[in-house]
Amino acid sequence: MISSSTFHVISTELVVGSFAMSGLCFLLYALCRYDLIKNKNLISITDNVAHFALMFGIIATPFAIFSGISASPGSGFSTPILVNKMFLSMTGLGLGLAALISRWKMCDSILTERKPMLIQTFSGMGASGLMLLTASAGGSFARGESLLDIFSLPYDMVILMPIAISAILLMLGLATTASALWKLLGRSTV
Amino acid sequence: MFRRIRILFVITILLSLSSFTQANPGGVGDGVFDMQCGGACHGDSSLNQTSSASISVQVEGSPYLDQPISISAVISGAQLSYSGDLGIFLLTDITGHSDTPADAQWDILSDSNGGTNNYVEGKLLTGQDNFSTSWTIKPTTLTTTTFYISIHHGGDDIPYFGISQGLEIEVLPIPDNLARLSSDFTPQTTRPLGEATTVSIETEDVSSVKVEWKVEGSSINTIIANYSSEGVWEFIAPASNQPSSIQWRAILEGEGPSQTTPWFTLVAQEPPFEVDETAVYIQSFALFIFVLGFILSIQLKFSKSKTEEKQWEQTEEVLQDSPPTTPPLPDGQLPPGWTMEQWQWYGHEYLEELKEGVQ
Repeated sequence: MISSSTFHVISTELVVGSFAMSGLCFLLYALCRYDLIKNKNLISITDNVAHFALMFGIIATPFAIFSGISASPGSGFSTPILVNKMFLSMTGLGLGLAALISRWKMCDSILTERKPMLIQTFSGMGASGLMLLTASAGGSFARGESLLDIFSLPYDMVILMPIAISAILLMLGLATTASALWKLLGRSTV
Repeated sequence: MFRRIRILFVITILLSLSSFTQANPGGVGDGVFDMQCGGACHGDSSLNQTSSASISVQVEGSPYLDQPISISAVISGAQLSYSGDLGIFLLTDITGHSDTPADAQWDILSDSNGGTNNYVEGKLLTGQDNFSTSWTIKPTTLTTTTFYISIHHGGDDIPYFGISQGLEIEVLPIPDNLARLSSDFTPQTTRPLGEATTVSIETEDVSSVKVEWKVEGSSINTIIANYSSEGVWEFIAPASNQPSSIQWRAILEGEGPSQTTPWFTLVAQEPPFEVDETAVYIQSFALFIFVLGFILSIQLKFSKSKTEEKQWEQTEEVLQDSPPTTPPLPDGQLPPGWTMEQWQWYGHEYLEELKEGVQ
């Protein structure tokens, strides 16, 4: 048996690696689609790699989050950095999962039309960016320094909404997600 | 679809189990706990192994009723360096329940981390071979109590547990005119960073107070406390610009026997960060589910036109369901041994073979 902190390191390595690969592929895909890189084979390759890496990262993310909470000293949220890590990783997870479900249920159609393709690449790259930001916050917490320190990110500031507002947002999110999934799962893909 | 949901459900259950049933190698934070931490420190106490660390306990001060004494412990041993994290208990019993000092009518005035807990956590720094901690406690009844120091620590993937020999303390009645601290005196244990702190000492039968203070590892400084009001004396502790602790004790003199108090700990620290964990969890899940729903909805909206066009496209289904066109019968009747249904599906192959045979 390994300790929570070791398991957290392993799972975060997997998450960060997968999301970094996914984000890079989403970027290359967008560049190919706008003919900034003229390589037709790359479109198909980056599409596949981006979404499979995203899927792997999403599977590893809950393990990283729960082992991180378990490994932190005292209560799970003893510093503002840990609270911000939770917010960033959960938002990134939402973006990533949305990108993956869209690609799975809408197939190629979201990549052939301009606006859905832009939203898809934004979601994928956004998820990667947020996960890398989470990893940077983890570095600041564990070692007191991170590569992104040059941006002086306000990790010590927590924007915590009142529970009532969060609950409304949660209900709204649940309703929107349920409605979207109902339409996606119920409609013909012929 | 339901198979996927079942897999997701099983993964969720496994995740929950992995996080809730294990020990807490990161610690649980200081608190008032019984010997097994209520099961919270090491998930299952039956898995504990005996620690090889040595624990030495020392008492400082005279155990008079309502007068503080100090109990200090030094824990050492190579096994501690595995993880460095250490949980230390001050107990009054080893039965596993009703074993905190409060259960034996003792109040904890301060611990070495600036709190008033019987369980404190510490970390053995690299290069250190022992860890020291102390509690200032006072008896509230005339009683005899046996104190124990117990430790929890990890190492080599095994939770370890250790307990010291008992140390019996008999509480004595206060002698006449004893220069002493007031029975309701509670020492200040924490203070903010960067500010000099005025510390008040409430006394009885005292005519002068001398204070000794020290920062760990440095020499003792002595100052005379100023008389403030009836029985109250004050001295100023210098400001600390970084988290640290100073220890101080008072030498009380009066008409009766003089007395030296135990060492009290005054910790300078940042105000602890506190957050409502429920609010954090709800906001996290709200952000997750809202972002998910929002992106899916706008994807649906923008890819709608194309999918609607396709929604009524059923050519393939129609082609699949329609029976094939029946080929014309040779000479107006079925070949011998054929049924009409067979002819409907395979008749054209028969006609092609017949045509090739003629050619």
